[in-house]
Amino acid sequence: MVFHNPWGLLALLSIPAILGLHFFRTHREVRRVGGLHLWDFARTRLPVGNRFDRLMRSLALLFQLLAALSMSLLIAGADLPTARVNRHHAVVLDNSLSMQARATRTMADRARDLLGDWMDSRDRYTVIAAGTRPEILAGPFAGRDEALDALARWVPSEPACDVEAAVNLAGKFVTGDERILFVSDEVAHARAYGETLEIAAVGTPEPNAAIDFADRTRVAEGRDRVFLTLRAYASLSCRTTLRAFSGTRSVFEQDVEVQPDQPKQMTFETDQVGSIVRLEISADSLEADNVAILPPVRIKTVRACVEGLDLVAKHFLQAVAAVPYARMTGDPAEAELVFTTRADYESRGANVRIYEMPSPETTEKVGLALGRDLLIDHRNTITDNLPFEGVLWPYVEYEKRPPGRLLVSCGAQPLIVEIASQPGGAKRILFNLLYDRTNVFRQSFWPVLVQNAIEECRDAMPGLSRTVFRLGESIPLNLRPDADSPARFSLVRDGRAVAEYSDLPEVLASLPAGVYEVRQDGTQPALAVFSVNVYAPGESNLQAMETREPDLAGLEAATVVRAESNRMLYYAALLAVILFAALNWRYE
Amino acid sequence: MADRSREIPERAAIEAYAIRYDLCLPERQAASLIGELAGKRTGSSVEYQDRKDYVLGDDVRHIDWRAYARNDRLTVKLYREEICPTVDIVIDTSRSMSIADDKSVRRHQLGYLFYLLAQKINAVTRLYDLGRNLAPVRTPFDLLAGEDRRQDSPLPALENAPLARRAGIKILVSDFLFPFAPEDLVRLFRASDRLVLVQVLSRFEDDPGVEGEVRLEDAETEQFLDLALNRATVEGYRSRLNRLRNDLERRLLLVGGTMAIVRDSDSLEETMRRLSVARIVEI
Repeated sequence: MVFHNPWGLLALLSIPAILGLHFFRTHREVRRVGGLHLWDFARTRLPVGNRFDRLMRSLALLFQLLAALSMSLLIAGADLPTARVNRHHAVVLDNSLSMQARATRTMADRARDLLGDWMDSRDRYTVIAAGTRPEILAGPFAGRDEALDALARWVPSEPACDVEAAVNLAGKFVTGDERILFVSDEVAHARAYGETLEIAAVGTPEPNAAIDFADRTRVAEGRDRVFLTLRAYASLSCRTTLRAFSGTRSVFEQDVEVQPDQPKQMTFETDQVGSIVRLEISADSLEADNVAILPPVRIKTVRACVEGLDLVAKHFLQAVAAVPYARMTGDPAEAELVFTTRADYESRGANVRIYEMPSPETTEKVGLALGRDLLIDHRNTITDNLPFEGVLWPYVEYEKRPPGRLLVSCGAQPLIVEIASQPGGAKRILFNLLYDRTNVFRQSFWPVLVQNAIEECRDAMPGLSRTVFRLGESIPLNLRPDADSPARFSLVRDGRAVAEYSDLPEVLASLPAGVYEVRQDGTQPALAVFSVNVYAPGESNLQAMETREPDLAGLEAATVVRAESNRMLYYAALLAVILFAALNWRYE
Repeated sequence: MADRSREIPERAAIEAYAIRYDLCLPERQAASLIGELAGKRTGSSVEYQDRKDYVLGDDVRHIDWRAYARNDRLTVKLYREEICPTVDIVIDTSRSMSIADDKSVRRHQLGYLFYLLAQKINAVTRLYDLGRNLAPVRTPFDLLAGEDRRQDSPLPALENAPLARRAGIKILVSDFLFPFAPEDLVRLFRASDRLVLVQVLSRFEDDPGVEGEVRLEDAETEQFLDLALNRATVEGYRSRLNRLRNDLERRLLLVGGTMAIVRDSDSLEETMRRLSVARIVEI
């Protein structure tokens, strides 16, 4: 016997409780009287003293105890499980977007038909969806109905199909020679697992045109440029019509002929800078890649300030001017990026970057590093990919430990150091560079460094780095909520809340395609608006789709012995409770 | 010798009441010995009581010849009867009479009182212990000795006892809570001149209150009965108790008997008042 809810056995405590109640009930107040015959009319039970009456009283107690015992077993979920032998199959479904492709019916529908015809109500199934990460759709060891329900709800929408991860997961549920049924729209990416998988391919090659990439950028005040790439996945050229909408208003329309293997780059400009722009091409086999949604661009302008570097200020000015959405400012208090010779420079926030350099009038010992000798930390966005060749780097020699993490060094000498900063304070970077005797500012190295510094600063500023993301991409939020509003956040997709948070996550991942808003309760407007678009060439290309009939009859299956609940015991206990309660009522 | 190791409470008060009160005598007293007590009937004493016209059969020795000389009518002188009554006092000493100390005490007090009242009139006084099969005892103090005994019903003992068939005054002190038919009890004492029943009840037996769930235990049989002592139950009991009393009183009335109900919690004065109202005693 097993108990599905062992805590329910605590109900057995009712048995001593009943015994106690019986014991104390017999100890009611006793009145001695001369005779009982005048009270006979009021008797509620036979006077004790004869055997029959004791028996009656014992029966009532006995039935109460039996009823309590039955009820306890009922609550504890007592079960005498019966062993049932089933065959088990593991099924892996291609959960990638291409399964949404339609000829007369979608590939996913074909997969459902195939599995629906094959599945047997006597067997058990573990159904796994193979996307970028495997996911169990039904089971483990689900019945046919449960599996079919899960298949009915299944919508393949992943940007890729990781067969290996799914097979590894399915392997945890198979034993011996059992083979896994893999249902996909193509055979190629599963061939490597031929011994493990029985492949069922339900695809057919279909021509398809797709928006491979699209984005928008601000080109002038009140004017955005939309640029996109169209691609034809077909043997012949595809004719399609590109339409752009701002809300319901059409802002652009053009008929396009796209040649196979020749991506079609297109741009157009629009004055709808504050609205979402929706791009569509004509309907074809795969609908999902015919749409791209471009939310409004939110530009983070970085303001830079130079202080005490008069000799080289113009080099800073030129470098900053070359970076979009960055400008110089004369007020250090409003700058996000400060180049200074002051080591004690105070700033106002965590998104400010302070690059400090030693004063040229230093009395310390000076060294010179050549570009080829430098050691670079490539994990850092500021220094990675900097063209150091040909650079002459005079520096102040350090005899003590470097003041922070070395980004660039020459031997043990620090050249660029990220100084450990206080939480919530500005990020400080030491440029151990004597700026009046170097060729750095005349090298290609210099504008790249300034641009890296500006972009790193821009990333640190609150707000999304961009508003258009690709399916499967992680989305760093980097938002600064309103501290005065409730700390309740919601993620809204196409107008419907899909998630709620008490702490705003730093990164969102695995989001399906759509337009998203991150909202904070009580604040307007949304903290961030972004879109996730398909942009998955591998899924848009339906040319490699094929059909393969699996050998379902010869598919080996594992035998699974399952303990199944015995409902008869449940009903018997329920009946016993009712019966004993009724008998107790009768004999009480 | 009477066992005086146990004393009757308020003995002095009872003796005082015995001086103040007299036992009510029966209208007729058959087969009693001629004694010193003036009876209520006409008899053969020297004490003149009344006169009446002579009728055939009257004792010619009692014709008032002087009156005949005066008014030429034959009249007969009537003289008060002189009697010597017999009083049989039966005290119930079964367990039911000792369910409460007050009830037991009141029973003994009544036994002592009736004993004194019977002695006062020089009656032939006999005391019987009903709990011991009507064993005769010499004094009320003898009843104090020994434990009360179980007696499901005293009727079998009474039926077989000679006292039931004798004339005289019969006084039964009991709670009369055993199952019996009033006519059967009264019929047993049909030979008596006056049957006096004194029902001694505990306060609960006489007037139970609404108490909720209780267990009633029969002092004699030790059986018990669980019941809810609610208004309906109490009213039902009272109704049955009153019916029993009414039946007894009606039967007693037919034979010239009387009955008093005494509650153990009443004062002695209240008890005497009740006996007086029932015309068992008189001042």
